[in-house]
This record gives sequence, C-alpha cells and structure tokens, in this order.
Amino acid sequence: MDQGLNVRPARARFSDDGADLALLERIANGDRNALRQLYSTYYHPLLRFIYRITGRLDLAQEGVNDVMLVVWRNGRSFGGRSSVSTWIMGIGYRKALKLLAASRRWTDRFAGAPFDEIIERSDAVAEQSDDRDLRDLLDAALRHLSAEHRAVVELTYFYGCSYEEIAAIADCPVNTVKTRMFHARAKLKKLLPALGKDAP
Amino acid sequence: MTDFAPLPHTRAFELLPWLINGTLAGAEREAVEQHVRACIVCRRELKEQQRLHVSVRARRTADVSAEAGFDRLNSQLDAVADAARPHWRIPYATAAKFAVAAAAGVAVLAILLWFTPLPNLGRDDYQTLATPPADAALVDIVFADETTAAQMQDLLADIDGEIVAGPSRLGRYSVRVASDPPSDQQLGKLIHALATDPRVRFAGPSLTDVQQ
Repeated sequence: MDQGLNVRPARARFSDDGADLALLERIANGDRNALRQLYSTYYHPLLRFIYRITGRLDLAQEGVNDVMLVVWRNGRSFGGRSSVSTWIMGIGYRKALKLLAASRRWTDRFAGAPFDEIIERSDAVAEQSDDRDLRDLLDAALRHLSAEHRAVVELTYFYGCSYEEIAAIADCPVNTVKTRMFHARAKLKKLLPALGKDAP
Repeated sequence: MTDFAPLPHTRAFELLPWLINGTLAGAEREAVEQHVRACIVCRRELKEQQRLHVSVRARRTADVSAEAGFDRLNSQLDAVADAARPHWRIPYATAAKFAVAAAAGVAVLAILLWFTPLPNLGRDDYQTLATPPADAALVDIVFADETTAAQMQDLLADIDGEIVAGPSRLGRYSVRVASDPPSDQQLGKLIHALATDPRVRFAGPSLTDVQQ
C-alpha cells in the first residue's frame, strides 16, 4: 500500500514483446505484411517521441520511416539484449538527434524565443492556473531543455520507462539518466513557477 | 519490519520520477517511499512532479495517419528493390541463340589465332589486362547509422582495409582495401559484398583522389 503517498503506477506500454519478436522474425525473412503491422504499432509512439525531441512534425514523419527502414534492413541482427521496443526507441532516439542536428544547420527554430514573456505569463496565470495553461507553458519550457533532457522527461513521464530502459535507449550509463532528469527538473522548476504554486 | 537500508535524501530525491511512473520495484521502491514519508522536501517535490507527469501525458500530438507513412516507406522499399534488379531482360530463347552464335564466333577466332604466327614481342612490350594498376585499390563506404566504431573496425579488419580519407560531409570514407590491388572482378565482388552488409549503407568505387 502507498499509505498516503498517493503514488499510482502509470506505465504506458504500447506493445507486447513476444508479438514484436514474432513480427521481427518475419521481417527478417522479408515479410512486408509483418513490417506493416510493426509499423502501425510503433508509428504513433515513434512519431510523438521524435517530434518531442525535434519539435518538427515533418522531421518526425521522416524519422519514423528512417527508423522502420533500419528495422527492415537490420531485423536479423537484433540481438535480444533488450526488448524490441527499447531497441526500436533507441534507433528513434539516435535518428531524432541526427535530424535535429541537421535541421539546426538550416534554422535556429528554438533559440531566441523570448522566454521572459513566458515567465511573466506563468506568474500571471499561476493564481488561476489550470492544466491546459500548464500544458501550454510546458510546451514552451521543454523547448528550452537540451534534446537529451527532453528525451529523458518524455521517456519517463509519457512512455513510463524505467531508468534502466532509458539508459539502454540513450546508450548511456544509468547515472547519466538520473543526472539528466535531475537537471531537467531543476530547469523546468525555474521556467515553470506554476508547477509548484498550484500543486494540490 | 523493513529489510532495506534508509536512502540518503539526494538519492531518494533523484528517484522520485520513477516512483511516480511506477517502474521502481522491490526494496528500492520501499526505501524511496519510506524516505518520502519522513521528508517534507521530497513530499513537496513529489506533488510537483506528479503534476508535471500529468501535464506531459496530456500533451497531444498531431493526428497523422500511419497508413500514408507506410505507403511512402513501401514505395521506398520497392524503389530500392527495383534499383537492385537488372533493368534489361532478354527472353531465354533469344539469349540461348545469342550464346550459341557467340560460342561459334569464339571457336572460329581461336582457330584463326592458332594458325597465325606470333610477333616476336620483347619483354618490355608485354602487357596484360590483368596487370594491376600502380595505385592500391580504393572503395568508398558510407556506414549505416547504427554501425558502432567497433563494428566499423571489425568490418575493416574483415576486408583488410584501411581508411585513407573521410568522412566527407555525407559520411563517405575512402578505404584502401589491400596492399596488393585486387583485379576488377575481385574488386566488384568485394563492393557487392560490402553493399549487402548490414553495417554499410553504401559501397562503390572510390571517387576520392588520395595521395598514395
């Protein structure tokens, strides 16, 4: 029992590893129908994840197809050291970082946003803040985190990943995951005073 | 009774997000919960993070159809498969006729050459198409995105290759494949093998002018 902590497990799982493995085996044998099934399972999770990292829907759509092309070509080399979803999200993570780096050579989309205005707005609405306001502010605040920090927040709070799974996806030590999350929280706290003021 | 050691504040504090998302388990979860019950700072942080958790989960993504995306991928795969296939085809019967005619032509040529006196070639004039070029053989390789540095080294070891230039802006490496240059046929086979290797995205004859 939680004995007053009111902490409920909230894992977001979108696939079944046994089913994914069976599809991967068929994909390794060139079965396009299996690829279609896996694609439809992972399309929205990947689209959202890459979109959250890059901030651009066109890049996210391109990224999903890049990821699934890698799965098609390299399905046979999946070693089973992690779940299929962790493997695929790891490919998605690396693709997203590459797409973001490439796009930044052309446009500086996130830099220079007048965040002072956002902080002022945040203070102004804190008294009557509702969740929608917070979500809007959160969108802006998350853009001011590094891509790696955004990914850890998203993987923890949207996808319900353990820190070990995130370490496997980001290909980094577990302590790096904890440190990234710690710094992301600290920065979000500064950028979003409303997060604390209206806490129930 | 508890069978776990109390956690220092900093460790419990950094684990709160995973207490919230339900992935902490066993003794670690119990230790964090025990700490939070006794720590006002962590209780406040837990509430803030729960709010952040709800907000992150409530953020929406554009509603885009997966079908259209898969159709694009499918077309891409078709294009790749098509590019790998020979673009001209000769019906078997026609090919057989050409083969018979070619074999007859080669036989006639061989008989003529057999009865033709050979010129007296000096050693310096002797030349063969199989003579290897003076420069070592080079191939261009673009590794797959997922290929790690260790896998690149393994691949280079497999082909007895050495990177002599690159990467270019597009990730192209020029690789010297052997100290004794292979024949064109051997090089063609090597490039084909590299092109079908999952660690490689592209392989082809080198475009790089590398000083030997």
